[in-house]
Amino acid sequence: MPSPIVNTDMAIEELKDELAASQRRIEELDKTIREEAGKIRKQEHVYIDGLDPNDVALGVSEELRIFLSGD
Amino acid sequence: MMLLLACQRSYASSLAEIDFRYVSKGYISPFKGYLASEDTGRTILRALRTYRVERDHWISAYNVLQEEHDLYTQRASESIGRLETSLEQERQMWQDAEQKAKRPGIGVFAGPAYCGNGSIQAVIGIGLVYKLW
Repeated sequence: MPSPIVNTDMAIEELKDELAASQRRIEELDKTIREEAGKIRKQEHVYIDGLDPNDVALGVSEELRIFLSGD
Repeated sequence: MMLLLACQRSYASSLAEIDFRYVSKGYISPFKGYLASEDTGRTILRALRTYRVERDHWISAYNVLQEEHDLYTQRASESIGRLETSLEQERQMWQDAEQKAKRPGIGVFAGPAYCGNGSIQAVIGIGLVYKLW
């Protein structure tokens, strides 16, 4: 019987590695994305507290314009 | 200090005139509108910005994950292609080996032989060998 082809074993390992690497990348992305999302409220709170009253009014107007323009 | 909001209603919302401004205490508005405190104005802005920024963040995250998915699909597809090629080669090698094993071979044999005169003699020989199963 012929000896096993090394390429087949390598291809299977390659596929397993690719799947594992993709899962790791997705898990890392998921973690980063959720961490960043969790910071948004606090960042916005700090940013808006630093605005003067006129800038708050301008900011609301701008947000409403963005909403009406549909981005 | 107050914030005054007046937004003229329009059949086309994109044409709505936005008028949200900061006015001093005692300001007399020339038109009907909404009155809000400065804190309320900040909360409105915070809510609007937070929802928009969060939405943009999740859209961006979706696109990043979509790219990752596309990349994985492409790489996995290439790996599967290589695996199929390799399996095909291996299968061909096994088939070739099996066919080769069924070809007739040459065998050497040795053993006792009964002769016509009643004697038993040692014999050796060479012959064709066939694999039956």
